[in-house]
Amino acid sequence: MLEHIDLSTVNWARAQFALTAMYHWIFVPLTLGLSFLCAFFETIYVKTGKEEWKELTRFWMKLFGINFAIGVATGIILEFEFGTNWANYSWMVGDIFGAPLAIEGIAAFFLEATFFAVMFFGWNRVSQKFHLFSTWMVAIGSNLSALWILVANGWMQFPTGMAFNPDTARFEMKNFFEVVFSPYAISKFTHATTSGFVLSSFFVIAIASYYLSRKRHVLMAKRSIAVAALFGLVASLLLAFTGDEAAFIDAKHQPMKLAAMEGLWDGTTNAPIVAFGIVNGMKKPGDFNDPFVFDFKIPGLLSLLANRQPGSFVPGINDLVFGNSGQNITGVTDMIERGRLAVKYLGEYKNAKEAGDISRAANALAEFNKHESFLGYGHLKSPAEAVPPVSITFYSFHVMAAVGTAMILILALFLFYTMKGTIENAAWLYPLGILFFVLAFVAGEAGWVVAEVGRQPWAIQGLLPVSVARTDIAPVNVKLTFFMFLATFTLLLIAEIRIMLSQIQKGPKEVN
Amino acid sequence: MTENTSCSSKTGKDILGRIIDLYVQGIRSMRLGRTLWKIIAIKVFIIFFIFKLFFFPDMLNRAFDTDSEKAEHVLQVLTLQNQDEEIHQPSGDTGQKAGAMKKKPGPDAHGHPRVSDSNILSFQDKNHT
Repeated sequence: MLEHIDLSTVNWARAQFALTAMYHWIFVPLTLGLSFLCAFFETIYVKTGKEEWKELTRFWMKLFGINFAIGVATGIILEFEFGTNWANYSWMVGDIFGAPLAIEGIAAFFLEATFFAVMFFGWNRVSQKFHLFSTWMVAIGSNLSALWILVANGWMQFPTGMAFNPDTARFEMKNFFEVVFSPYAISKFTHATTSGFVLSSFFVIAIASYYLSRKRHVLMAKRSIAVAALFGLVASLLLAFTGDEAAFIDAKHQPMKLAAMEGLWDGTTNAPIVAFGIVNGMKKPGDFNDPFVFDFKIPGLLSLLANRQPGSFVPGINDLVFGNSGQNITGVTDMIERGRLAVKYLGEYKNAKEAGDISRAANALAEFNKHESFLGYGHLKSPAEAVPPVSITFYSFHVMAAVGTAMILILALFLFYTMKGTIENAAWLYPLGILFFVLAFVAGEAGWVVAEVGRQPWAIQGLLPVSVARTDIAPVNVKLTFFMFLATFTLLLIAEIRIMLSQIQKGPKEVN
Repeated sequence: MTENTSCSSKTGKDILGRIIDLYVQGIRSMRLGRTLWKIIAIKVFIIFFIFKLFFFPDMLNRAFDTDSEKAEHVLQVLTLQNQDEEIHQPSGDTGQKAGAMKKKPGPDAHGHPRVSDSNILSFQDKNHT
């Protein structure tokens, strides 16, 4: 199997980016959700005036601080990678990403940095209300920081509000609001943040479950579970809703990703959802092999979810690769032809401009503009290159969806027993709380795999494949830094886990 | 007027003093925080002074001096690929792939065209594994 893995520079660069992003995503979702949970806990403290709530808040705030400290600056490495491994891409998107990332920096600095100090140093030094305000500002600031990077990611999935400048080879922003409020930006932000809320709820539930199982800090654990289970349940329902929205817009704008998520090779009306299945990894576009070794399908559900219309047609990978005239679908085969025309006329425009032939340059530009939206396809060598790795996308999606569904049930159970006042007797639930904290991480990472692997080969959907986006450097450079990151990240993760565990062992200060 | 100015400047100094005091006292009373700050300092050092300085140069900035040179390079990359291939009449060793693209057998039961078994090979994508 290993001999089939393509270890070219572009794949090492992709692997390095995936490693860094996935590592970064260990800390980010906890920051997003735990900041809000701290704000909820502190609000209850201010409302009730009970010292137990204050100590409870301080305990979770301490764990929030550890996570924040270890995770801080891990995202900056992604920006280094842009300049080194993805120089062409970096140049082309500089104008689009400049504004969102600058706003992120300013928001992070003013909201997080300013109020972060008050949140940690301000107990008993500033008024209760100002301290609470600061905690809320940290929560809002952290989540707003995430907004801008997710806007940038959303733009890569669905480039909008811009125009390609053939003189500078850059995508230039024409409409900021179109970029910020694009369906993908909204979907990415809502889905990613709600997943962080759910994960953080399980973080609190897992630690509280541990205390309950050891009969330690029982009151604090029960109170923590009550707030986290309620927050987590609401967030998990929103997560399911935003996930459904994400698939709906994929059906419109990234149908290849949706087809790969469901292992749908041949489009059909009344398209089924695969509840579970084993993918045939040997299947290729246009062949007659079965897509699954084994599968269990729910008929019609994919049509309903993808188009909001029961019985409607959902295109499969083959329809998208070869086209389907009956359904008015243009295939990748034809898009490649148009893409090659775009590349050709862009070259002609460049040459004519250099030669000072204004008339030929104008004609070439006019022709380029006709095919511009297919520019990226001009760099594909075969239609099959437009198909993402189906097995990885399918399994990642199904793991994410299965865990996401189960999380709703588990959170509902925790809330039910808490409301009933019998959570102390439901000891069988504690291991599930701990297990689902780990599974929530797995689901979150799997979600990013679906989002990013599922849109291969594109760095920017339809416009720039990763093979062109990359820098032409020797693979050894990328390999070296890949393993350096792996070692550094592993050490940092070990440090975080050790510090966290020691603080959990200590537990919150008991109030008599 | 002078009184007001001096009063507001005094209040301003008070606020500034309280903010500085908040940070100073906060940092002094840190216990776990000191360990975390050490980790942050080591991490930031590794990221900025080792990774960035020695391993992550901005490749375009290193290779080119001006924006127009960078644009020229990226345009070169954007227009270089497939330049040697005819769009409608492919030739050379890429002919099989491009030919396979053009060769569309009759549609199957689902309405999309099929490729023959011999052409399937040309659709194999290294990245898929």
